[in-house]
Amino acid sequence: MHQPEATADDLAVLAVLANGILPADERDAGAAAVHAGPRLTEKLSAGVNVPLYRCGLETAAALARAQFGLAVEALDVAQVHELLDVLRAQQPAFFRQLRADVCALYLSDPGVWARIGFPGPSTAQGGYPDFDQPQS
Amino acid sequence: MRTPSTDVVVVGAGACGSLVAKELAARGFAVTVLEAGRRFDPARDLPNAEANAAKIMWTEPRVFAGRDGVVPKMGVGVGGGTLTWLGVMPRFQRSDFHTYSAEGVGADWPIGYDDLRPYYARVEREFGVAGECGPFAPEPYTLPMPPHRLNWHAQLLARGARALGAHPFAPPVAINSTPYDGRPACVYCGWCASGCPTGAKATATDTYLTRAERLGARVVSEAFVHRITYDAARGRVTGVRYLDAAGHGHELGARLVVLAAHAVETPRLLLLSANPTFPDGLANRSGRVGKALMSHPTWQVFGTFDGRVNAFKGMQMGHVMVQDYLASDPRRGCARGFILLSYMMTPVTYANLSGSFFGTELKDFLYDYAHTAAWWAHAEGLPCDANAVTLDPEVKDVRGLPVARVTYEWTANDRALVTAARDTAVAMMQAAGARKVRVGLQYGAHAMGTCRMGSDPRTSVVNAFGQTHDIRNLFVCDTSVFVTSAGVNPTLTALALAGRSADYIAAAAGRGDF
Repeated sequence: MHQPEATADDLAVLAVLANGILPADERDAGAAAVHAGPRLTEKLSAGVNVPLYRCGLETAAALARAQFGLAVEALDVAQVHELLDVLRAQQPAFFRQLRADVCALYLSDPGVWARIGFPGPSTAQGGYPDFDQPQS
Repeated sequence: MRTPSTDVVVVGAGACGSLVAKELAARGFAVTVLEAGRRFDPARDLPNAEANAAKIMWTEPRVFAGRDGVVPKMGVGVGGGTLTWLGVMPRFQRSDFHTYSAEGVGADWPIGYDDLRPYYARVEREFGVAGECGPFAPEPYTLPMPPHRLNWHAQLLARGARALGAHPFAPPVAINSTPYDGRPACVYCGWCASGCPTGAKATATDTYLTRAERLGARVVSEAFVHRITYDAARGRVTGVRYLDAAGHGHELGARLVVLAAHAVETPRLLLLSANPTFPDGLANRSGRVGKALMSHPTWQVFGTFDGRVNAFKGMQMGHVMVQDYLASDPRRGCARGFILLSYMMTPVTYANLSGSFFGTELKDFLYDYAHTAAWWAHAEGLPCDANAVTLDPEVKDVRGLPVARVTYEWTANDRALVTAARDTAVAMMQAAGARKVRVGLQYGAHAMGTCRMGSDPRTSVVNAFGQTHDIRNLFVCDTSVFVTSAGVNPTLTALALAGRSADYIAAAAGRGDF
């Protein structure tokens, strides 16, 4: 079945929601550090989880208008947090998928690995001979 | 054109199907194993990457219904679930086989521990298991490889367990602690669930299936079996129909069909194979095909420490286990028992098993990764007929076949028991010195039941040897035949049962039964 291309509006909303899941702070730009908005939009255009995402995005837009009288992309950080809280309760499947997708993008990035203290692939380097020693 | 044929068709190239293939090939049967997924070269195809999940995990659609929507993890590909499994291989307890007569819950198996004892030992030797049997084993036994040393993560967890009076130990794990059976010792790289590129983790592929192929068994990958054919006049199955990767249909005749596609796809295939003689699903006169699906209610409990834990260094699961709470204890106010296992994941899985919080709280949790330890608090789930695998009336797969509809709700006992497991893990984490404890996701680990074994054809699908009551030359050899789930990881018991089935098949064939 033909899936309509995701739009610039979709990208803007997904970028806002993604950074609500993993926000910017002094450590990094959050989900934006791994370009979560554009990459989630690409997946949507490629047909991945379209019904789930479409339903979630429509609900997010309706909730933002009803609660704040604003478009999602115009919400401030606290309002996005509140919106995600409601989405978690009202659209749990969408929220779970969004959270998982954002985390997968963020935690597949070597820069993030370095910041959280994960060395990444290790088998080729011989694994960890010090696995049973006190760690520091 | 004449339909090609073989002696035995095995559906599913996971642990159990591979064992049956090897055992029967060794006794001179012509065996063909049909596997829905691809064949991988782990060193080439499964480098350290969480994206491997898309290759080796079942990702075809299913419908998850019921109050709790339990989604057990399942593998696909030549090697089946062992491609992505974590290798923990404890034996069941004696009491696991008669929960109903002893405690009035669950149901009794038609066999007991002693029936499986020789098969347990054989699998432990052939698959390659390292570890200790532990202080609560059903009997003292030794394993072919010494235990793995506890990684630092497990040492911290064990400290908390001992503070509460428990007896942590290095459990049986099918990951080499020394070179064994031509495979190397583990290097503790911490990527077990993404596929083991070194071969230190035992898989069906590099153990039973390799031997089966040496003995002449044929393994066909990307062969999706969608129907078991049946001759009503003879009352026998006659083989299978399958689709190859290009969607082309094939038929393969067989004297014997063995289903080893795990506890969701095995009942799905039986239901898809309904015919005028069996309108409710093949071998389903009892009406029990798909019923009493079981999973293990599990909580993930995280503890963050001031110092680095670096739990990613080591086997992902099973450096340490606690079995002190596996026996029933009336003081808990519920039946049966639970275990605790060390379980640390690679980062994406760590996030997914953490729960549903978000924002700064989630980001802080991710940044605590290297300082965090985790217990897997895993309880016995009781059988309940309402928990079931059926064919979804609406959703179809890419082949146009109805997908499995998995309906699940934890029983009150499951909830109470896993709450006790969770609270014990929290207490141990605090006793170990964690500065912050987080209760993560509750989920269902493992899938079992759906083609229960039993002596009464009215209340079970297969007999004590996995042979369907309704059709003599049709067997089920996977966790589908489980009567209860026990509190521990199921693969060793599934393999032991499959070994027992293989012996029975060979003996029955020798008598001319097929």
